Amino acid sequence: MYRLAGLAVASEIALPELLSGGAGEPDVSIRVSSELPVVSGLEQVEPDWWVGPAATLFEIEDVGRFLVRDGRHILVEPKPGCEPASLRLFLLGSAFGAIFHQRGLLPLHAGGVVLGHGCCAFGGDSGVGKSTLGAFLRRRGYRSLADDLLVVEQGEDGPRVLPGYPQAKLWADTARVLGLDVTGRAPVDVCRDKYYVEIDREASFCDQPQPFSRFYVLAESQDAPAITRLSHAEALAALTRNTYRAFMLKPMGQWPRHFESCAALVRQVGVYRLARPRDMRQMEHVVDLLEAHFKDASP
Amino acid sequence: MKISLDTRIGRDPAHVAALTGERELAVMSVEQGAYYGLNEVATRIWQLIEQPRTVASVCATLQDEYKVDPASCERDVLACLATLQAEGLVCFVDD
Repeated sequence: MYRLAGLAVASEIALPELLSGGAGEPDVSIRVSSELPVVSGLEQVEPDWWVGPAATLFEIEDVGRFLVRDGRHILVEPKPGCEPASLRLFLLGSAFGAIFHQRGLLPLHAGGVVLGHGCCAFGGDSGVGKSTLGAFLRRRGYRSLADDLLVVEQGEDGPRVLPGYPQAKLWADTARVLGLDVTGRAPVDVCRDKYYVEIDREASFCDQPQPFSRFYVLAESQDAPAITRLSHAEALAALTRNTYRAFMLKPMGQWPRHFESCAALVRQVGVYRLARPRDMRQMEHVVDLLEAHFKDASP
Repeated sequence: MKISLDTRIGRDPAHVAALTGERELAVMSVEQGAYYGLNEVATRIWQLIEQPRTVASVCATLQDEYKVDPASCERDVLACLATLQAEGLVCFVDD
């Protein structure tokens, strides 16, 4: 049995990335099927995505078809000869994204690092440098909760970030700057110079839920690195834009609830824009800036 | 179609809304992903038209709440609704 975002996961497919543990009835089961059952009432939302209130079906070329239901069941129909690593990439990403949405959790396309007394999340467009920033923060001794799929849960004491798994995806040049050797490894997918790196489970990963304290939207600028606070309206837009696979929400009928939970978060979590040049040599300076910022007591 | 006091208006169903402050509402178009920050009057109007109602009935409530004279209240509400309608946030509702 595995654990992901506080859920006990039983899987017919080995998922060595995940933390192990959990006993009894699984919260989520992953099964392999030779042919997925037909599910009616789904709405096509993307070329290869069909979504309904309690079920999501998607197809990835050369990898397989995935059916996610009731926040509990993932059925996978692998394509003949597909790479197990590709199967895991879509299981741990899109399929679990659907699980989290179906369970009413708030999955963000963001990385998360424990800074001070809580988790700071880093969002922004794909390729803006979320994983790179996470890697630099870990090198400075901070612990990660997630690399690019961050799960938020509203608890009695406020919002919490649930632990993901200790693996990150890094560009080859970022890995080089950090002194990580990726030679000989298989890339995340064949088109990109991006590789998986393990996060040290003891030293650099946090496997316990943490209070959600801040959300930083990464952006590129030509000026010196700077952090500015977003207004509530801007913050709400940032959280909804950084929602993981948000296109599922409309056919699920969950936009009103999701928008409300993002608005609640905006009142609880400071949301900032972190703008900096895309220059690896400035990264230590960006980390200095963040350290000074989160130590500032005002929310 | 021009909005008059007899017009029944309602929220456009393709939008979601949430309060970001005590009297400050954010509205998002689910289709386009466009965001709107509503001011206090627009926020109050949005709250009042959860169930479609006539402009006259909205004005009556606002006059009472804000202690304004009927003429300027009607003028402000009609102007506000025209803006909301132009952006597609509210729609006419037939009986």
